[in-house]
Amino acid sequence: MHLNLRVDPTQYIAQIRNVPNYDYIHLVRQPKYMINLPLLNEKVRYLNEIFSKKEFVQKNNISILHAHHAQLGMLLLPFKDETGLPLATSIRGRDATMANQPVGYLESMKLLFEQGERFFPVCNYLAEKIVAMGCPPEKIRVLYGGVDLEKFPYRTPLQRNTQNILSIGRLVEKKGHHILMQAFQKVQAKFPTATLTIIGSGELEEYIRSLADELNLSDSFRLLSHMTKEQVQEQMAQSDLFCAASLEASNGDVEGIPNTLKEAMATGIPVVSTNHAGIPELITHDKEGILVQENNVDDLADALEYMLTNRNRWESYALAARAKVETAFDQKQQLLQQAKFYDELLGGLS
Amino acid sequence: MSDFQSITVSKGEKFLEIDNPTEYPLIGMGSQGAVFKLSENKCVKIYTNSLQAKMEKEALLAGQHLPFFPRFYESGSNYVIMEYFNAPTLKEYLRNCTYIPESITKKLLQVLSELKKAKFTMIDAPLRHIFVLENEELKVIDHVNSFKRIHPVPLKLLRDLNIILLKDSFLAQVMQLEPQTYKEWMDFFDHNKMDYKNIPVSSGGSGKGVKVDSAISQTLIGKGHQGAVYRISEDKCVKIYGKSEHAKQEKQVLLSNQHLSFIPKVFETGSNYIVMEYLFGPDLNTFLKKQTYLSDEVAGKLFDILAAMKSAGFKQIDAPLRHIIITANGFKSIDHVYSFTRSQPKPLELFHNLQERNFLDSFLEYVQATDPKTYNEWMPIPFDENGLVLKR
Repeated sequence: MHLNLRVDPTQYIAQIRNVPNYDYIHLVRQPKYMINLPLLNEKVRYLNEIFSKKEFVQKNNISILHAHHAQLGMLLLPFKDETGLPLATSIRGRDATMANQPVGYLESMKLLFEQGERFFPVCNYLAEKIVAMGCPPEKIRVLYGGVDLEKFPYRTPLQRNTQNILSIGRLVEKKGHHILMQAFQKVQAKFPTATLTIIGSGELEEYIRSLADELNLSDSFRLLSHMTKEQVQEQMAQSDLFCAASLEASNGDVEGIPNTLKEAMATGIPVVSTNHAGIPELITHDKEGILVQENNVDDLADALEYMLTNRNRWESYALAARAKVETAFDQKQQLLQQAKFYDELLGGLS
Repeated sequence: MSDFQSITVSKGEKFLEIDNPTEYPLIGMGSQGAVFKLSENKCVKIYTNSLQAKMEKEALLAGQHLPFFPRFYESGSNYVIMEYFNAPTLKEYLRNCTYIPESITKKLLQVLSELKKAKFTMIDAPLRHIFVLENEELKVIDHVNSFKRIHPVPLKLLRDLNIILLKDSFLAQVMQLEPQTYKEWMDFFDHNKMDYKNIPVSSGGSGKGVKVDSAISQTLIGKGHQGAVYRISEDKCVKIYGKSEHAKQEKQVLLSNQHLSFIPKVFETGSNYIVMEYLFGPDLNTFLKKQTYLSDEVAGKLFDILAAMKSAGFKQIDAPLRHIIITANGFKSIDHVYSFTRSQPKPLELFHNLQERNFLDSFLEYVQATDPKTYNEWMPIPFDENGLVLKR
């Protein structure tokens, strides 16, 4: 039985519905979190509408509870208590920070670490963070999120005269869009026809639009929101360079490893990113792409310029990037790994 | 400060009517009275009914020795001046919490135990009446019914905690911290189990909702003008009506249309109740709040319901968004008391609801394209002077 935040295509559906040899119940907290009709089926259920937990578990033949965020793991503790089922909890960027968390968060995290059987941080960086918060290391299994390689087939980097830079991510501080925009403005001096496209929506939309005005980015900058996956892929196909300027937000919020970065790498788009959170586990500087210090406009501008100037190096970056994603971030492999972790939890393997 | 006495509070049709010629800001309003802030540490509650002012004064005086009671300052025939708290309510304080902090559980248990010791009969408080001061010190307001209502178990507190999904962790902690209290509560619920064949739901009179017994409120799903709905098992619920005439009308509609996919399955009926399938899923209004556009799939399913109503001979053709439940087995429509008796050929309440969600135009475009005949029958849509769809 999986508990995630929303029934919504952005919420790691494969990790719930496509784990080999494991059937699923897709639980969300309340009906209001079911927001995508095509994903609704008879396996979608609502935590607050479970009448008797024991009956529910029996009727649906549930053997493992998997919460896809720390706060959801805490929510399932009484459920676990009542049913005696093992609980695995995925740990993503926000879970391992104290930023903007509700009252008693750390205390509840400690309880979760004590009572939960398994923790699946999405990168080693977050694994270290939760150990520091008190999670017993023997309960931790790092589980990288995977990319559907068939949906993101490789293409050779575009060799043409355009300089279209793409970034995808919610409009929140930790995505570093504001740093990218300032770096982009600097790059424009040397590459006047360069463009920057940001795809995402979120609380900082107004700020980002006014920053674009302030920086006089005019037609060279586009902010696109509410796009379908197909539309996003189309934008990817047209871009020359991908950038994820991730950084630690002023409230401490951090990333895991951004999925869009993995997708760009799978597609063969050269990437520029930052030494932030789990990103160095995906990209070694100057091998699968370029990494710069986070929150540094000049460094990022230099890296973008370097990339745009050295187009001849793109293919070697892109090939190494694809190889890295295939080795460590292939969704098929990662789902098999997840199934193995479940097997182990059920006592099948050690 | 006595100029607050120029404020008048009286009962209006639906809400309280307040005339406030003073500068004191209104900070809260309930069914019995309104509260105005007088200073940084004082507020006045003005009642519509002097008996309630008296009841609150008596309860406050009886609780002055309790640390979580507001200080009592002064009272008159229709008002009480008491301590004002500039602090978040417990509901606000626990926002986004998914596991209740043990410190809060301990303090709540302490409050409940002291209320009991002081011989109050209402050993309960809703989350919005509990304030959290610095150092997590709790204060509890609104004691009008402290000696009137009998809640040996904190029904309101548990119901509120359940809504924010903290009831389970709260009860788990109560079981550990005070096993005896936990047992008493569980015994209470065991003794007050739903017996839907013999349940008190009374009609609230014209224009008012039905009244339900709070002892079984933990399983209450919803209540409206004609009845209250309770969950009775994993997949069943029961709707209990204040008037048997309403039960009869709805029974007729549901039973004669069990073959229609959007009509909930009925399992059992009585003179004032109907046992039917429990519908899992969001209502369509809640769902559409999160959508950026109205998909053809949703428009189509909605239209199919209206078309099926018409061909099944329903007199009232309407589907308010809050009455459509999105289940894994398709859209279901609830509340059919007037389907055979109230003549209404155009789905005006649906139009009104869609307009609120900004989807009326796209729905009408869909209907115009797929079924121009029906579209023409629906035109023109009556609007009021502000351009809003008239519901009747």
